[in-house]
Amino acid sequence: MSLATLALPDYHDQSTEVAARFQRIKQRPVVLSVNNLCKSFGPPGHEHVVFDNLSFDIHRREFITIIGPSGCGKSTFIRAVAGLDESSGGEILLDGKPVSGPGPDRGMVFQGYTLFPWRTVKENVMFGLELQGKSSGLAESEARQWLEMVGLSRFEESYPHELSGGMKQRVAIARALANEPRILIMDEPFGALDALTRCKMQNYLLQIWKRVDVTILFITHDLDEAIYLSDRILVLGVNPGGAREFIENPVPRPRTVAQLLSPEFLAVKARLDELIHTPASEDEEDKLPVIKMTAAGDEVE
Amino acid sequence: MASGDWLGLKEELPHQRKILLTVLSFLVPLLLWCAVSYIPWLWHPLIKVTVVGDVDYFTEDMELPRADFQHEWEKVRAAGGTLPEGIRVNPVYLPAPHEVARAFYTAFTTEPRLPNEPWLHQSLGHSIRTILWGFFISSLFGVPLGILCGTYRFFSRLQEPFIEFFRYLPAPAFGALCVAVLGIDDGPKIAIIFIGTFFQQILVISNTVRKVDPALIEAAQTLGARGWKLVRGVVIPAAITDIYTDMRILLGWAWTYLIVAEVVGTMSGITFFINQQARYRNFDNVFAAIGMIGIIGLTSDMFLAWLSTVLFPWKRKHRRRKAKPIAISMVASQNRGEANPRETSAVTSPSEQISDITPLPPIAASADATTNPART
Repeated sequence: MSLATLALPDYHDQSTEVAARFQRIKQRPVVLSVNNLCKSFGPPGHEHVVFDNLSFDIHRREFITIIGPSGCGKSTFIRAVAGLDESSGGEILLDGKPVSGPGPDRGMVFQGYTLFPWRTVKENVMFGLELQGKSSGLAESEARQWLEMVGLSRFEESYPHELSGGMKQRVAIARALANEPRILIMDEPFGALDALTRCKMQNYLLQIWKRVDVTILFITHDLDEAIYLSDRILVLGVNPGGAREFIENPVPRPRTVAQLLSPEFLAVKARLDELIHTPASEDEEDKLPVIKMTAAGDEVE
Repeated sequence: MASGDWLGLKEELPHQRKILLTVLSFLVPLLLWCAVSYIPWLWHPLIKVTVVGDVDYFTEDMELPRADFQHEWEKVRAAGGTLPEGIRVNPVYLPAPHEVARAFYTAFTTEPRLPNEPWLHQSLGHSIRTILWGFFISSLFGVPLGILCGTYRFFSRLQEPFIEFFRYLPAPAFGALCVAVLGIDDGPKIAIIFIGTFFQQILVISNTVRKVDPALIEAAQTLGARGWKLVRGVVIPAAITDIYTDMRILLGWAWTYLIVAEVVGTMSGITFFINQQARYRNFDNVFAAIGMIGIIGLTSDMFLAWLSTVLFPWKRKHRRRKAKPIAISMVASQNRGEANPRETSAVTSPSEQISDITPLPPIAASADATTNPART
């Protein structure tokens, strides 16, 4: 049974609490402002446009997820925000100041864990603090606090290769947050984890987000993850590239796993499904040519 | 692990088998050597005369090819004279294992024939000194330049094309030039080891540095690292273990240049000893000296391998995990009741489940202390 055949509420419908919450969010100051951002590759005249005229504002302590089919430029966009790649036009403002080059005000968590293997867990978290010029004593005590928050105090003297994937990613989150960035950029951070660990990590992340003054920009290709975590969902598309829709997520907070089957949740999911899986792309990719390599009558279905 | 399978692909061998195979790797060549030396009908192409008999030109202990001996023997038998006798021996340049083993000791105790010739231990010491100086001076410049080339395209482009050209010039070709510039003593020998090592070193190390995971560098940049701090804090530590391995291999190459270097100018060190002993036809000493180079090389490499586990603790595979028992006991005491409708058949490794179940502590104070007070 497809989601589209269910009788679902309109995903625009918001309960009073949810609507009030979005009102409050909109009154908060804007942290990240993206104006007419575009990115293209290739020689002039034969450019491949990844996205064009991307514009939106993100408010303080908002949780934004970005979703889209592969090749839609999710990572390209997020790397431009982090300052790791340059955009082809437009501007990115952080607290009103234009972004150029990577900096500690924009923390980043990568899909590959990117922990420094020669540093212990504690020393990994201390890395950014040391760069800020903090004394090693102060850096150490702050690093301990952050490790306590992600629940890894016991492992502060371990090396990264001794940790599981989920633990490594929690260290990476602690390391990024220790710099007290204005915005935490997460590029499919749980993509390499198994489904069970992934679900736990999502709950950890929500807990951490509640306790820290940070705005989160989270890339994923998992519809459930996008809805479960976010305040708003930015849907990017390909051909033409760019923003399809910026959805205000009607699922109320606090989030629980039980909500995964609630009508609001399914309504948003149906809409995302519709936006991402366009009929055109399915025609091209889903059908295989009819060549049969088994004996006639030997059917599996 | 499936025991009994000796040829499992990529399968770790049990400890006992590893030791057995290590011993065999030395024992098999040694047994071959013993066979050729001690089994009289294997090879032994010469006859050593023990009884001269009626052959005019034979003398006692004279060695000649078997066919020649046979020819003379038949001539004497036809003439009806006293038959010569002899035993089959190997040529003098293939001493038996026990002779070489004895030479390992006697080579050190044999007094040099001439008063100004060095003892064996002095020759060895001289060689080691030459190598270490050459390698040290090369590393002093080669390692920083290699790191620079590996990190910055600018330096790589500026230096590497020339070095690529220069490394094809054989180091011994510079022998005469080195003697002309640096005299006939140790100077030119050190210079040749330097030339042989230095250019390879820059290329090998810059390649190693280029292989550093770019994601690590990007992560460091988003944490605020830039410029020299990025190089010192991330690039060098990320590459250091591989650079260390490169250095071990390069030190091995330096030994191969040693013998060439030592014949430049006045012959010295272990090469002098080997040549001198070959001239005296003491081939047991020659084999012993060559064997010693191997032993010095192997033990120094084993020492460096051990040293790396001290220097780079994060590379150790097996390390006691004090955190583990605590985590396990937590699993036992914790009720894992939370429903997960999204995943029914997730199979995780035990360690993954144990470690990730650790709950977040309900703290707000510590986070408040480090974050802005304003919150919604």
